[in-house]
Amino acid sequence: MKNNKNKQYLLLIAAAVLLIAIIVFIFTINLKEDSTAKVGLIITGSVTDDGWNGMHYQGVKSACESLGVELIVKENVSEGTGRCAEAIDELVSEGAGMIILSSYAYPVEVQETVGKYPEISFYGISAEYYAENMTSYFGRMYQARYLAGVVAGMKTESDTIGYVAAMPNSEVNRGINAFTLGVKSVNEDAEVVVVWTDEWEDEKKELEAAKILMEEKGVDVLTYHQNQHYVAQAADEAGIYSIGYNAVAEGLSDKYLTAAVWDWNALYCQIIREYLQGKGNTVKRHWFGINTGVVALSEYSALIDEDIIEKIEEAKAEIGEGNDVFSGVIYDNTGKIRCDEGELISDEILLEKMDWFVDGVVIYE
Amino acid sequence: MSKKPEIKVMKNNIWVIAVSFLILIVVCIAMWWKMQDIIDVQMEHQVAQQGKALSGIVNNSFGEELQLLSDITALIDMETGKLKDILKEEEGVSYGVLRINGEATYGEALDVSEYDGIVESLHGNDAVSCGDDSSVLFTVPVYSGENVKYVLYKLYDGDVLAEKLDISCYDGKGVCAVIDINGQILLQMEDAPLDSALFYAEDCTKAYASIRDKMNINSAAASVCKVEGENRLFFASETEYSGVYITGWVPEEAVAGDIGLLIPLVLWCFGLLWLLLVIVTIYLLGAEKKARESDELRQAKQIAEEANSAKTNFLANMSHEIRTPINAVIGMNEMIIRESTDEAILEYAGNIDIAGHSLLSIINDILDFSKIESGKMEIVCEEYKLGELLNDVVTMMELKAKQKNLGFEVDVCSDLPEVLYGDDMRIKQILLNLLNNAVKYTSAGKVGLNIKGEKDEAAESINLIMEIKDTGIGIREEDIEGLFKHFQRLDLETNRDIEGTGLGLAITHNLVKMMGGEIKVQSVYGEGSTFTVYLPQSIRGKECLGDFVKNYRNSAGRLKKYANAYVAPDASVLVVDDNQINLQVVKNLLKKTRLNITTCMSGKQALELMCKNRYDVILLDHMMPGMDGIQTLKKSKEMPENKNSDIAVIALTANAVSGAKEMYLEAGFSDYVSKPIVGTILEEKIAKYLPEEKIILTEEETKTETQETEPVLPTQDEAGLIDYETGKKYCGDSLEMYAEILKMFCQQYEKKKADLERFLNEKNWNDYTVLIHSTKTNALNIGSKSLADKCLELEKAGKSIREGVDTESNIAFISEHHEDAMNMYSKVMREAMDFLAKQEG
Repeated sequence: MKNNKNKQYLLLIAAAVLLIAIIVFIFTINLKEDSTAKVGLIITGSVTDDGWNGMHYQGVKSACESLGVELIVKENVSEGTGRCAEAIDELVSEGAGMIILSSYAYPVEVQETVGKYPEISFYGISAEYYAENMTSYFGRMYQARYLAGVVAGMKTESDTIGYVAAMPNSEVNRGINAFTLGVKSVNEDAEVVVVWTDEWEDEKKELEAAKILMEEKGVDVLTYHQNQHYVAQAADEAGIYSIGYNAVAEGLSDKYLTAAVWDWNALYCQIIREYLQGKGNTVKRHWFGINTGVVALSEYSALIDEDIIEKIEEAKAEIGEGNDVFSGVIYDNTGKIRCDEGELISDEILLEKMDWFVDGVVIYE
Repeated sequence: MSKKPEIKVMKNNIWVIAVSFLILIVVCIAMWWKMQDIIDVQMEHQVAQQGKALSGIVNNSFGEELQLLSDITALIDMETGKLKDILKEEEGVSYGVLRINGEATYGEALDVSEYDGIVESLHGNDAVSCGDDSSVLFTVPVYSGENVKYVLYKLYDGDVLAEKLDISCYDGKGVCAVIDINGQILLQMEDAPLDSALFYAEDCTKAYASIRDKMNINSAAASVCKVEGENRLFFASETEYSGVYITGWVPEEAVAGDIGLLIPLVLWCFGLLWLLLVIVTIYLLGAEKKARESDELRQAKQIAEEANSAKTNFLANMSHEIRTPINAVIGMNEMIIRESTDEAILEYAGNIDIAGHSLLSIINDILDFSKIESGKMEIVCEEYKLGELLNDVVTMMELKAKQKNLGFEVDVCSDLPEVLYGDDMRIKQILLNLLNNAVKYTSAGKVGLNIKGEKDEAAESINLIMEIKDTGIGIREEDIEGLFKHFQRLDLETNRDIEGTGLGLAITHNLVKMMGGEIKVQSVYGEGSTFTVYLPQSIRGKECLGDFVKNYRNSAGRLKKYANAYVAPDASVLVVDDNQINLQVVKNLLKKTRLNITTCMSGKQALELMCKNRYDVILLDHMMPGMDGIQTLKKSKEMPENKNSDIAVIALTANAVSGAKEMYLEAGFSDYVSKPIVGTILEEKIAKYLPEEKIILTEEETKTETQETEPVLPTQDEAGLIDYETGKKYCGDSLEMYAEILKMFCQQYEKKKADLERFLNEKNWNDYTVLIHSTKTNALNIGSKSLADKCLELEKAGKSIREGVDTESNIAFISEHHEDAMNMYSKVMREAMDFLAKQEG
């Protein structure tokens, strides 16, 4: 009898196992779907930093998560060392189908490697090099810079504004020019003094540059184009106004007026989607304007008055209507006319050929 | 084997079926669900691809528009509108040139915020954008050097562009439209307009939510949704131009086509599978149950068979044991019939003969039947003469029919072969069984025997057709089927007075079957029956039977006469049997033939005699203590000094079962005679083997002989102590036999008396009692009642002493009366001597 009962239980268990096996089998016959796509990201710093690299990492990561894509990151890949090409090789061997080069110099540096992998979709953050499988992506940060320039132009009393910048290239120059055009649009007399640090991230050089600008040039508003917020911190310590970049720097006083910030999440969502949809590299470049939210001014400090905000909104509306930053009569700082009345500088020149500075920019030698 | 475990097993089985049924149902549902899913996904995929294709058309079409517009920019002076005539104004199409500040140098100024393509073009890119009123705007930048100075646009009314585009979805079975990102329909296809209200139907919003979800990673997607009673596949696809999409729906039927048939097909297969499972399960259960039952049955059958076989063995043994005494009874009775002249006694003896024979036949039936049951029945084939066989049968049955006042008609086909090969004993048995039944169950009318045959082409074998007809009570139709079953007796109520074991037909049927034949019955209840036996037999020789009645019936009568009437005083016969009475019977039966008969009581003695004397025939009993008949015969053949090695040896046997004849012939016997010995048969057989010159045929001699033996007995008064009449009766009414016995009585006297006295002196009460018992029996046999009484008293006393009862008084009684008894014994002996002397004188 007992034996019989045991038998029954065995039978029952066997039946249950069979049932589960069959159901599992049925449900695992999935339709032939593309195996999870893998996206590779190469950054110059660490995924944990709170500046440029951290922001990109967070942006790509959340985009990948929302789209169900696997992300592989290569950290601390310095520019100009050949490490980037190696990182690409590694990513390809690890199965990445799309590789995001999030630092400005990467695309030009790895031209050969990109050519080596025609089946891999490359997205580079600078527009200076294109290929069949290389699309540039960026935001029209210059539009936010222009608005930041409006703030700086209205806040400066010494009419001298400091700008700590990494190095001269289309992107940095475009930012400096847009900022200066913003300053000039509200303050004809003000000038912007630029100090180069030659590094995207170098605390010592950045602080040194800030010191030069504050002490030698007597600037009362400081902004910068660097990966970290050392300049803003130095300005805050010195008790002068500062305008941030990339993201909002934490723990600063109201003298930190605002910042020109990126929303990389939205941007990456869009380009990764494009890749997943099989439309990767179908366009030469992506340049997301202020109306897309990829670039913006962060929350204003209490020291920004209503009239400033009004002015900012005006400028923003104008940009939205097509009367963009680089339109109308623009002279460079050598007196040459770059844009005539009723004209607008095309994206191509903005992205690739901005090797000049507008009137009002002073380069510290 | 209680019923509980069986119920348990049943329960288990039901469990198994239920569980597998459940599994199959669940699997079936899961499968159906999954298949539906797969098909849906496939269809959605297909429709999404269609959406992509439609997007391609839109892309191309829009691309051409932009290209055209781009080409035109080089030809037109934007400020003056020179050559603006190139731009052909059509119904629903308008052109224009905008400055970067939005002013129009030509055509209408447009709201920059409404058409974001304008800004896009100001940045140097070609663009397509949608207006609020279903208009579509194509814009291209116009450069002045490297900088953008103007934007050239072409504004389409939605309807006009749609007409130009003219796309159709799924050969017109589907519906599609170009929409903007807000779901506003830009281009409505005229043939199959899309009802924009659909977007807001509850089910559709779900479908579109799913589409939007999928379009995160796809440029096109589709989703199934039930709308207006039919399943539709809604789809959407991006175009190259941001904010421009194409959407629509296709009825499921158009997409699925015959794919939908897959599901019922698979489900049908599943159903079949399930059915198969059920059938197999039921079959297995049935098989299992059957196996279980057959196990039980086998056991029960085995037990029953064992019991049955025990019964059969018992019956066979019993029958065999009964046969020996019956043989004695019949044998003795035969002597009574031969020697008695008393009418009444002859009648009694006749009845004993009938009863004895019917008892014997019953026992033989039982023996035969037990053989059939145990499979020991064998058919032994040999050459035989059909005529003789039939003659034997007819001889036996004619008499029986006559006794019942029935007619007996025999019709034997004359062209039947004379010599056949088969088991004549069994054929005889079959015929006798059937004829006996016919006579038994016929009270008036006649019984018929009709023998025919069908020869085969080569005349090598014949199918004997033996028809037994009667005008008896017949058999009911419903009884015919069970007729050949064991112990079947019909109409027990009405036929109660008819004796029989009911085995006859069963045995007959079995025998016929064993011989490869068949038996058929035709009967009309109350009018009579016809049994037809078909027996295949091999033909030997070419002679024909001829006229049966002429050739056999008449000669048979002659033979019989001859057998009954011969003497052979010169011939000598040795009879060997361990039983004194049997020897006596044989001697008496053969007395008339005046043969010289030597008897002996063991094989050993027989061998000695055979070496000494030469006999004409030897009758050798089979069953003897020590050396039996067969061993004796075998030994005798091996002995060189045997003078009788070429002489016919006839076996005497009570073991007259089927196959006995063959057995004896094989053992070297010339023939056999079964017990109880029938005088005529014995005479006949002996005559057969006697040298012809020693046989003297004489009917008259027999007669005188018989007359001579008529007894003249003294009366009781004359005889004194011996009652001769009684004594003679005890001896089968034969004076000779009586005389023999008296002689034996006298011869034994001296020895017996001496022995008795010796036992008395030795006080050997055991042997004394045995001997006095024997003396008593002898006294009774010769008719001396007074001596027997005296002996009886002594025997009783002896028995008591032997058993230890009143030993003293009984010893005293014997001592007292022994002398008395011995005196009487000597007196009786003397009287007997006198009587014998008188007889011989």
